[in-house]
Amino acid sequence: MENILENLKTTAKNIPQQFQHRKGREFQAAMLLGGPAFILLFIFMVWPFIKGIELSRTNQLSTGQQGRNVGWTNFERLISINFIEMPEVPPRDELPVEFTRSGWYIGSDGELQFRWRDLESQGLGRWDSENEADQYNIVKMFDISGTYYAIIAKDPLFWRSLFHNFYFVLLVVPIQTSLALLLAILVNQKLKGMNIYRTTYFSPVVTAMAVITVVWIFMYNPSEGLINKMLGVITGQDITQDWVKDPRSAMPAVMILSIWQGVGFQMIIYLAGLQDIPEDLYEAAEMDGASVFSRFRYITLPMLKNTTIFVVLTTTILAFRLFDQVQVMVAAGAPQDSVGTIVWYAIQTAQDGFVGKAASISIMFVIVVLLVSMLQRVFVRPESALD
Amino acid sequence: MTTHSLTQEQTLAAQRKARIAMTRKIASRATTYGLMTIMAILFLFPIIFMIVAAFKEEASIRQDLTSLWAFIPNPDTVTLDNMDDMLNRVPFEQFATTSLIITFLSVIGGLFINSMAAFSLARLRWFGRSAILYVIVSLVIIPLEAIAVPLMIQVSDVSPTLNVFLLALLGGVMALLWSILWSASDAILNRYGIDLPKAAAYVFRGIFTLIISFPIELTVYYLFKQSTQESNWREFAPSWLNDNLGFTADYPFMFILMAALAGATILVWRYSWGRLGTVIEQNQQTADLSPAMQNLTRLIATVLIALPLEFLVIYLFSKMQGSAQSWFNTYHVMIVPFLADPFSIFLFYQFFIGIPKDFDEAATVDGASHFRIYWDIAVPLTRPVFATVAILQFLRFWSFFMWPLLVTQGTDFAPLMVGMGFLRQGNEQTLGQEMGYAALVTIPVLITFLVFQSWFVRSVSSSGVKG
Repeated sequence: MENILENLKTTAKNIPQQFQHRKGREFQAAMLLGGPAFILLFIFMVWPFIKGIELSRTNQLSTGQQGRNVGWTNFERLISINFIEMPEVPPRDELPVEFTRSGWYIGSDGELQFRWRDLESQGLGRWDSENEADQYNIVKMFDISGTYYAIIAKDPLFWRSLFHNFYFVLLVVPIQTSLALLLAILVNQKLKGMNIYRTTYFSPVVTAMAVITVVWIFMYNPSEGLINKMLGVITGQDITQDWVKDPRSAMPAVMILSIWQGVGFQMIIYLAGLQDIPEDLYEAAEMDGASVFSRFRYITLPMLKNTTIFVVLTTTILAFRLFDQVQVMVAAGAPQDSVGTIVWYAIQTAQDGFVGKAASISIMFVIVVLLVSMLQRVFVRPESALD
Repeated sequence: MTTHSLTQEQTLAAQRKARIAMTRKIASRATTYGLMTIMAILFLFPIIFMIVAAFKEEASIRQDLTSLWAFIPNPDTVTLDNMDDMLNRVPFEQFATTSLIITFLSVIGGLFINSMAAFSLARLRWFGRSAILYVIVSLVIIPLEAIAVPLMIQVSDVSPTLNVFLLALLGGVMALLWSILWSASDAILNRYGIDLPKAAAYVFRGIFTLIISFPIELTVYYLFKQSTQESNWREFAPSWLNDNLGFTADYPFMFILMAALAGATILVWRYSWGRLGTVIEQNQQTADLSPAMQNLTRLIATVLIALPLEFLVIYLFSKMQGSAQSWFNTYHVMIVPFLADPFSIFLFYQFFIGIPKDFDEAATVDGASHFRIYWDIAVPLTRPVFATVAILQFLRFWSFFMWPLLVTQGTDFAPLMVGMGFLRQGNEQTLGQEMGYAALVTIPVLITFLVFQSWFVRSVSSSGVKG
C-alpha cells in the first residue's frame, strides 16, 4: 500500500515535467504560428479602436499636430436633436429671395426664437457659433394642419445620414432576401441549364462596386441613359427622370444598384440551405396531396430558418456599411442630403480634415451597429431556440 | 366488373387527361424558363451594355440606346479608340500593377498568417488560448469602417514601434522562408538520392537557400524602393558600407538588410534554444537545477549566442530612429494592416477543429513538430477552405476602395478602383473611355469566375451558416 502511494507520488511529480516540456513546446509553436496574426490584429484592429475613442474626444485636424482634448463636445454636437414647434413665420414665398436660410437665436427677452435670416448673417447653424441656439439647423420642416413643426439638430447631415442608413436597410434587406430566396428556389429546380442561370444571377457579385457604379450612373442619365430610354420604349412615353440628381429618386437608385449587385451572394447561401432539405419531406407531402404553396410554407420556410437568420443578420450589417456606391454617386452629382450615409459622412469629414469629428462619427456608427445587432438577437434567438 | 381492357370512352378520357397534364407541364416549364430568362436579362444587361459600349464609337453609344444595338456589338461601330484614349489619359497599367501587387501579396500572405493562427487556436493547447479565441470572434463583427479614421491617423504618423513591428514581421517571414527552403533542399537531396558528405550537404543547402530566396528579397526591396522614392528618408548607412559596396545603400536596402539580420537572429535563437535544451539536461552542473532555473539559463545563453547579430540589428535600427515616417502612399499601407483577418481565421478554425485528433497523435509519435503537423496534415486536408478564403479575400482586395482613397493621393499608388476617379475629371464626351476602363477592370474577374465557377460557388456557400 505504501509502495503504491510512493509510486503514485513519484509519477505525479514526473508528469508535470513531461507536460511542461510538451506544454512549453506547444506554447512556443503556438506563438510562432499565431504570433504574427495576433500581433497584427492587436496593432491594426484593437489599438486603433481604442485610440479612436481617444481621438473622438479631440478636435484634431489632420494637417495639424495633436488636437486639443475637447471632452464629449463632438458627440454632443452630433446627437443634439430637438423637436420644436416653430413660431409664426411668414411663408417662404413672401420673403425676398436672399432670405434662404433660417436660424434660431436668443431674443432680447432670453427666449429661443426663430427667424428667417439672410445669407450674410454670421453664425447661422455654425458649429462653432458662440450662441448655442445658433448652432442648430433644420433637419426637416413639416406642416401639420397649419402649424409648422421642425426637427432641428446641431448636425443635420448626421441625422439625415442615419435616417438614410435605416431607410436603406429597412427596404433593401427584406427585398434582397426575398429575391435571393426566390432565385434560389428557381435555380434549385431539376431542369436543364440551371447552372447557367445560377452563374448569371451571381455574376454581378464579382463586379467591383466602385467601378460598376459608374456604369449605372450613366445608365441612370436622364436624357441619355439606358434605363430611361428603355422605359420609354416599353411605356411609349418620354421618361426623363434624373435618377441620380433628383433627391427623391437618388436613394432608390442606390438601392436598386445595391440589390442588383448583392442578391447573387445571398442566393448561393440560400441554395446551400435548400439543398440541405431532405427530399423525402417533399415526397411525403406530395403524396399527402399538399399543394406547391403548402409545401413551401410548411417545409421549405421552416427548414430554412437558420439560413434566413444568418442571411438577414449579415445583410443588415453589410447594408449599414454602405459607402462605395454613395461616394461615387455623390461625386457624380447625387445630393448628399438625400443619399449620404454614416460611413460616407465619416470619411467625408476625415477628408475635409476634421479627424476628431470623423472619429466620433465612426464611434456612433459602431454604437448603432451594435444596437441593431443586439435588437436582432432579441427577436431572433427565442425562435431558433425552439428548434 | 370486367378486368380486360378499358372501354373506348375510358381510353379517350385517359388520353385526354394525359394530354392536359402534359400541356400543363409544358406550360409551367415554359413559365419557369420564361421568368428565369427575364431575370437573367435583368441581371446581365448592365454588364453586356458596358462591354459593348467599351468597344463602340463614342457617338454611336448614345444613338444606340433605344435599340437592341446597345447590347449587340455592331461591326460598323466597333472600335478600339476608347481603349486607346483611355490608356493615354490615365496610367492604367500603373493602377493595374498596384492592384495586382496589393491583391496578390495580401491574399497569399493572409492565407499563411490566418491559417497558421487558426491552427494554433484549434489544435494546440496553451495558456490564454480561449481568451484570444473569444477576442478574435468578437473582432469579426467590427467592420473596417469603424476603425478606418483612427487607423488612418495611426499610419500617417508612424511611430518607431510600428517600424519595429514591420521589421519583426519581415524578419519572421525571412526566417520562415529560409527554414522552408532549408528543409526543401534536404528533401531534394533525398529525392534524387544524392549522397553528400555532411559538410558538403550543408554547403549545398546553404547555397540553395540563399539563391532561391534572393529573388524574393529583391522583390521586397523593389516594392519598398517604389514607396520611398518620393519621401525624404535619408540614407543612414555608415559611409564605410557605402564605400565598399560599390552602390549606395539606400533606406530600402538597409531595411531589407535589417530584416535579413532579424531573420537570421530568429533562426539562431530557435536553433540555440533547441540545442541548449539537450545540453542543459545532459550537463552535470545544470541537470540538477529546477526547471525554472534551467529555462532561465537557457534564455540567457541563447541571447548571448546571438549577441553579434542582435547588436547589428539594434545598431542599425537606432540609426533609423530619426525618421518616423508616414505610411501614406506606399504599398505596405494597403497590405499590412489587413493581413490578419478575423473572419478568415474563423473559417479556418471551423475546418481545423474538424480534423480527427488521431492524425496529430500519429504524427507526434513519428516525431513531427507542430509546424510539420500544420504543413503536412492540416493544410492538405483542408484545401477547400483555402480556396474559399483565397476567393473571398481576392474579391475583397480587388474591389478595395475606401481605404486606398484615404491613404493615397495622386496616381502613383492608387489601385484600379481609385484610379477610375482620375478618368472622370474630363468633359462629357469620355463615356466610351469610362466604359472601357470599367470593362478592363471587370472582364478578367468575370472570366476567372466563369472558369472557376464551382470554386466560387462553393466558397460562398461554405462561408454561410453550417449548423
